[in-house]
Formats: sequence, C-alpha cells, structure tokens
Amino acid sequence: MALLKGTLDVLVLKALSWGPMHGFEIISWLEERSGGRLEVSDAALLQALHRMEEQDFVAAEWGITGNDRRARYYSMTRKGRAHLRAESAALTDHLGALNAVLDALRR
Amino acid sequence: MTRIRSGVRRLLRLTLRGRSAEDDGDAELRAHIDARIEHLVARGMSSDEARLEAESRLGGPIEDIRSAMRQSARRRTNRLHLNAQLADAATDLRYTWRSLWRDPFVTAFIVVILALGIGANGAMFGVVDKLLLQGPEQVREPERVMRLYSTVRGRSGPETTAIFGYVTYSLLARGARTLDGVAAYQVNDGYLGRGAESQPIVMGRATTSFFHVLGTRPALGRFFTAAEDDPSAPERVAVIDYGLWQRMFGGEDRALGATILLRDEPYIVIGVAPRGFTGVGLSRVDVWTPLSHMGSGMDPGWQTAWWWTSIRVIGRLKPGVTAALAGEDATAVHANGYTGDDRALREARQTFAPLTYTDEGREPGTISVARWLMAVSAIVLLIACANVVNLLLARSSRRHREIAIRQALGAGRGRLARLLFAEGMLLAATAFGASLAVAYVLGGLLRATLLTDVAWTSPTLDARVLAASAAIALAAGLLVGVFPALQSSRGDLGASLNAAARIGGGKRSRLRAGLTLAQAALSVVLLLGAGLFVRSVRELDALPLGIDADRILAVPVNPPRPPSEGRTGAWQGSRAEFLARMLERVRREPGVERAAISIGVPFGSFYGVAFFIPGRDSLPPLPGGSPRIHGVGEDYFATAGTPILRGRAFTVSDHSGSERVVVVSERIARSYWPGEDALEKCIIVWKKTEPCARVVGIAANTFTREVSEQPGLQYYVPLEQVQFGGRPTILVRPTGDPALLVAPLRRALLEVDPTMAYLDIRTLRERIDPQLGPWRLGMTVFTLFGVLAALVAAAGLYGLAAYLVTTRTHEIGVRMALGATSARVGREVVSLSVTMAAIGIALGLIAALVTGRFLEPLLFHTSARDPVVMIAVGVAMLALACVAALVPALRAARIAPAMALRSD
Repeated sequence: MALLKGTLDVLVLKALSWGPMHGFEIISWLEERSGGRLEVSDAALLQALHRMEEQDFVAAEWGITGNDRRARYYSMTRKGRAHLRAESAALTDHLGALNAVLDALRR
Repeated sequence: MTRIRSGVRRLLRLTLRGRSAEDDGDAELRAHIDARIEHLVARGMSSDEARLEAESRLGGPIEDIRSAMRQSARRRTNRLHLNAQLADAATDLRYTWRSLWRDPFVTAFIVVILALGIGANGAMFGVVDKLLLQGPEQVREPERVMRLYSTVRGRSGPETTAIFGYVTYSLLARGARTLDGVAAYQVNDGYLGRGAESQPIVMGRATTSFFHVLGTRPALGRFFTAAEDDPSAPERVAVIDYGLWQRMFGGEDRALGATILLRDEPYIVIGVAPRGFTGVGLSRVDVWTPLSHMGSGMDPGWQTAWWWTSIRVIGRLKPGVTAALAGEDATAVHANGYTGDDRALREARQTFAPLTYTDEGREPGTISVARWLMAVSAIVLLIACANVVNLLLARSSRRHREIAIRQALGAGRGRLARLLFAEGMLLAATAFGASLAVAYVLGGLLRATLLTDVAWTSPTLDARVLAASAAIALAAGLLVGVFPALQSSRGDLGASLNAAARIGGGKRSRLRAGLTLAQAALSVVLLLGAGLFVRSVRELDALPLGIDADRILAVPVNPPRPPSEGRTGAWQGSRAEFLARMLERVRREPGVERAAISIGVPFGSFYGVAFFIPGRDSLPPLPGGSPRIHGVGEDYFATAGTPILRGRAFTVSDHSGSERVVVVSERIARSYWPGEDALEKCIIVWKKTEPCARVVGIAANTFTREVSEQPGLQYYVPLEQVQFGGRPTILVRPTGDPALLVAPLRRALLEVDPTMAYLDIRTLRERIDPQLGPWRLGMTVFTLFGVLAALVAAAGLYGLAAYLVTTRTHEIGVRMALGATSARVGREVVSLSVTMAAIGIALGLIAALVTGRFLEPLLFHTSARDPVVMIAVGVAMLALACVAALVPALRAARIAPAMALRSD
C-alpha cells in the first residue's frame, strides 16, 4: 500500500519517538508495525531523513550498530517532537473524518 | 555507541567536518544496503540473492539513487552550516549587546567618538562628491565634457588661459575630429528689471550647441536655435533657471512668452532649464541667452577677429578619446586655422582639462583644500578608531578572567575573536546611526558658511552620502573589531587564569601604548595643519591692500546708453555730466565723508593698457600681466585710502586742458627706474603718438583681482585726461558704518535716475572675502578636526594612564609601603603621559615636515615649517597630556598601601 502524501514524515518521527534509529531500523520498524502493509522505498526514506534534518526535526550522528557496523543514527529533536504532536493529531483527525464519510457511504 | 547531542556539537562547531557531504551520502546509502543484506542473509537468503533484493528495494537504479542521495546530503550540510552560523551570530550579538550595556559610559563614549569620526567623513565626502566627483548637475556623462586651454610661451614664461575668441570656437567646431560637439559660453553679472525693483543676477551666454554638448533637456519650453543665436536675429530670447522660474513665475507655464528686462534690454522667455542646472560650473546661473546678444559691449568683427577674446570653450570628447589626444587635435586645428600675425599665438599648445579648473588651468583652491580635508577627516577617524581599540583592549583585559574561563570551557579562540569582532561591528553600526546627525549638521554648516557659492540641490544626506557613510562605518567597524580579535586569539590561557591578570600582558600594553602614540602623533599633524591655516588667514587679514577695503563702498554705475552706439565725444560729454551729477548727489548725502569716481578699481574692474618710456624700445614685462590703468577723479587717493608715498595726488587743476600727469605704483617706479627717482620722469600712455605724461606721485601698491597675486601693477591718470569707455565706479568713504549707508545711497542715486538698474553697493572687503574661501575652509575644518583629534588623543592618554594606575595598584601600593611619596608616584604617572605626548609630537613633526611641502601651495605667505606654529602645537599637546594624566595621577597618589596589598 502506497503512503498518503505527507504522512511519511509523521511516521518516521513516530518511529524515532521510541529512540534513535538508523535508516534500515526505521524501515523495518514501519514494516513491522504495519504488518508489512506499508511500503516505503529506501531512497525515499533516506532523502526524507535528509530533508527533515534540514528542517531541524531530526538530528543525525554516525554510530556503531549492534553488529559492529557504522550507521547514521537519527534522533528526534525538540522541534521534531512538536511537529509530530501537531501533525499526528491533524492526521488522526483527517482519518477520522475519512472514516466517518466512508462509513456513511457503506450504509 | 558514541553519540553527541546536536546542541553540544553545534556549540563546539564539530559539524560534519573533515568529510565531504557527498562521501557522507554515499556512506549512508552503503550502510543502509549492507544492513538490509545482513538482515536478509540472517533470514536464510544467499548473499547474492540478498544483494539483488536489497537493490530492488531501493526504488530505482542504484546510480540514480546515489546521485540523489549525494545531492540531498549536500543540501542538508549547507543548510545546517548556515543555520549554525546564524545561530552563532545571534548568540554573539546578544552576548555583545549585554556586555556593552554593562558599562554604558564607555560604550556611549565609544559611540560618540566613532560617530564624530564617521560623521566628519560623511560630511566631507558630501563636499568632495559635489566639488570633484559628480560633476555639474543635469550634464550627461560629465567626465567626457572638458574645457579648452591654450598655453603660449609668454615673455615671462608659459601662460595658460581658458579665455578664447569666437574664432577659436568656430575653427574647432568645424575642424575637430576627436570631439562630439563644441560649445562656447561666458558667465557675467547682470541685472534683471529696472529702477528700484531691479535685482542682481548671474547671466550665462552660450552658443546653441551648449545644451547639446552637455546633453541637457529643458524642464519647460525649449533651448534656443542657431537662428536665434545670431546678432541679426529680430528677437532676443532667454532660457531661465529653474529657481528663477519658481520665484518669478511660481513655476507656471505662463513664463513662456513672457518678456523680461536683462541689462535694460527686453528678452522673451522661451524655456526653463532643468532643476539644478548650472551650466559647467557649480554656481547658480539665473538666465541663459544666446552668445551673440552681448549688448552694446560687442565690438564689430568679434566673430572673426583674433584680438577679441571673451569666451570659454568646452568640448565633448568622443568615446575612447583621451584629453591628450583631443588636445593634439585642437592644437593642429588651431595651427592650421590661425590667420593672425602673433608667432607665439600661432604656436600655442591647446589642451583639455576638467571643467572644475580655473581660467589659468589650475585646480581651484577650494577643491585642493577639500581634498586635504578629506584626508584630514580620514585621520580623525583613524584616531577615533585607535582610541576605541584602546578602550576595547582595556575592557577585554579587565574581562581577561571571564574570557579565560570561557576558553577553558571549550569556546575556541576563533569564537572569542568573533565575539570581539562582533563587538566592534555592533559599535560601528550604532555609531553609524549617530553619525548621520553629525554629518547632517557639519555638512549643513559647510554648505551654509564656507561653500556658499556652490548651488546645492541635493539634501545634505543624499543617497551617496548615506552609502559612503555606511561604507566608512563598515571600515571603522572592521578596524576596531580586528585588533582586539587578533589580540584575543594570541593570549596565553594558563597564565591569565593563574596570575589573575594583575599585570595586563606585556604585548597588549605595548600595543595600547603604540596606539596612544599614533593618536598623539596624528593629532599633532592635524593641529599643525590648523595652525598653518590660522597663520595664513592672519597673514591675509594683515595683508597691506593699498586701499581701505573695510571702509570703502564701491558703487559701479551704468551711465545711460547713448542714442547711437558709437563712442563719440558727445557721448563722453553727456556721460561725464551724468557722472558729475551722480557724484555731486552722493557727496551731499549725510554720512558721506568723501567720494570719488574711478574707472578701474582694485578687486573690481581693471583695464590693461601698456605705456612707453621715451628713449626705451621696450619695457621688460612685469610678472602678473600688463600695467593696469586707473582713470581716477578728483579726491580719489584720499577717498580710497591709497597712500601717496612720494610726490602728490591729483588735484582739481589736473584737468583736460592742463599738462598731462600720472601717478605710478611703487613697484612700477622701482621696476622701471631702478636706483633712480621716478618723480618727474615721463611716460607715454596707450599710443606713442600721445603726449608725455609727467610722473607727479608714487602710490602704494594695490591689487587688481586676487589677494594671491603680486601687487603693484597700477598707474593712475586723471579721469579728464583719458578717454576710454570702461565702466565707472563711485568710491564712497562713509563717516560711520558702511553698512548703514548702503540703502540711503541706493535711494539717493535712484533719485538722480529712477530708471537706473540694480546698484550693487558693497564694500571692497565684501568683494575680497569670497577669495578667502579656501583658506577659511581650511582653517575652520582643520581647526575643528584638529581640536577634536587632540581631545580624543587626550582621552587616549588619560585612558592609558588610568589603565596603568589600575593594573599597577598592587605595585604602587608595595612601593608606597616601602617609602615612595605620593608626590613621586603622581609625578611618575604624569611624566609617563608627557613622555608619550613628547614622542607623539616628535613623530607628528616628522610627518608634518615630510608632507608639508604638499600643503605649502595652499597656504598664504606661510611656510609649512613655520616654527611658531610648531612650538605652539607642541606646547599645547604637552599641556593637554599633563591635564589628561592629572586625575589618574591623583588617584595613584591616594592609593593606600594597606588597601592595595589587601585587594588581592
């Protein structure tokens, strides 16, 4: 299932709210949590991360993984947390509205 | 896993340094793919299958993805770098602001002296810009318009002039290949209207090509045509100045077609010159008329004769043509076209020079002085900056511990340097704001009092002055920011922390001492300049003029025009009668002690007429020009206050029927009859066929036009014994204040002839005064800036002494505990300041001796090495140094040893 526009940022921030992760960890986390239903291409994710770093939603550092590999770890900034709060509320609201409409149609 | 919080990282400026953003992007992509492969292999895939799967999950061909990653990584890096810098700058500024507020007095002092320095430069820039850089207003590409000069080998050296005949203009207009147009013009005093209502104006006369060459468009109507610039044109037309249009016609269109009286002749207004247009000069010109309409002063044949010279010639150089090339072209045109019989004139070398130059082809005094003053104001700013640097260094040494602690906590030296730099810039920016007020006041003062003949149109603070002030402020900010920054990045951290900076670093105080010395030396240079100009103006005031310029009112009169334009005996007769009536009326006026008529008046009008001495073939030329004849009426010498040194003045018995007599100047007497008595000698005036005139008196030397000329070219003949048509002037010696007599005189003379044109009644002093402009400008501004600089330097000396007393409180306390007296300690502080000043004076004098010879041409009868000025300035500076050190010395003397020792 392709992602709705603009939701990737929120999902990434949600993942990072659990703690710093590198790119593959984030993708795995998203797939796991969605039961494999969300498909995000690696390139799209990595570029989204760069963009969010520019916007100061996330900060990044090179670190070492559990398997002794180097990886770029992303963590959420204070600004990112605020963004997550605002955007996830808006998204939930939006989805609620969609649900209500679709429920009404089903009847 | 080593991870550093981004805030900390940013603070320590570790941002992604060492590796390029591209490498970073590549590495991240590689790590990501590897992580997925590892994950898939762990799930049981073969490594080859896993690699294929991982690449397919990328979402595109790997090369594309790599380049996209590189790009986004680069953009991110740039952005983060910028953010970090902005954040740092904001922090720096906040910090600086707070630290400046901590001592508001020092900050205010810094801002004030910087503002004075920047403002002085802004104001001087405004002046130099108008005089030198911008060129006359409403002229297209003014740098390409130049004035023609001709240099001939005269009998007493090369003589340069800008005054030409119409022939030169027409030859050049037809023959010059390097010019895009040639024009001729002249500017004279005139008057507008008639009778009591008439007013003095400045009249410009120009060829039709004038406006075309300058590239000027009229504000209203049109400029004159070639047909109108013809002596036989039926109507006389005029283009009026924008200002006159506003005053006379309220800026309304009805001006077009209106008739105005110029020098008693009717002219029809056909156009209005654009606002600010002053022709090629910088002073206002009220009316422009065609060159051909010069009234009755026009001699027949003026358009073709070589002897008629009365106009100035300008040309617009073709693009890419240099002044030298155009000059060669003009010289060739002249050599080919000259039809006269004067060999020197045929071989004249013609050149082109800037419009601002004088008729003698030199840069005018005001501009030379303005150049100097620009340099002077730059020096004032340098002194101000040196002082500010000193103060900032003093403060940063007080803040030594604080800075050391910051350094120990990890703030890099670069960061600290930037903080100090930001401090400098912030101060300069604040000072810039305040400097605008200084530039406004100073610029307004210069315009209103010293540069009154310039037609200023732009506001004192125009865009150019603002931009220049901003640039100057930026330079000042860099200067005051860089020094403390360099110093801070050199400091020794450990030493500062340990010793608590009791003695504030040898290097630092050496730099401070050096800066103080430089201030003292530079202000000595400025004070010397001020002294030399003061001396020049005093020399000018004390100059023996050979005439009582302060007391004598000069009244140039225009006798009514004769019915026919010829110069007949009858006309002379009626003119003499008219003048006699005028003179008689003036003498009757209460408050008039004496009055006399003269044709040719010092600093007024002059007529060069050669004379001969029987028995000599030719007379050696006198430097300065041909002898000037003065046709003077009865009682002239007593009225003018020109002393008769030997012999007698003219009397009523020297009339047209009596023996011809003459009075010569002392210089003429001494030059032509060296070692002999000139009295009773014979000279022949004008033509060799004239009868001999006996020298009956020798008069004191006086001047023709300029105070800077060599005086004494005058000789005098009784008015009745000479027939020439110059403009007469009535000289009036009042019993009381000359100013009080001006209005009654004007009324009295209008009684004699109610149609008489404007009477320009002024003392001779008022005619001389404008000439003193350059010297007065130099004196005023040099003195202003010199005193300012000296005060700032004194503040510097005070600062240095106070600083030493503060930093050596401990040492002084120890010495006093060991028996040094208060007086001795105080004396030491004063002697330090005086020593600094003395070295500064020595350096300043050396600098002044080196640069003095460039200043000398601008001085008047004053040597640039004038010992009186040097001594006066030296003494003043030493006195200032004593005063500056007084307060710190007293403080040092009052240090209580016990307190000082305990203070640690």
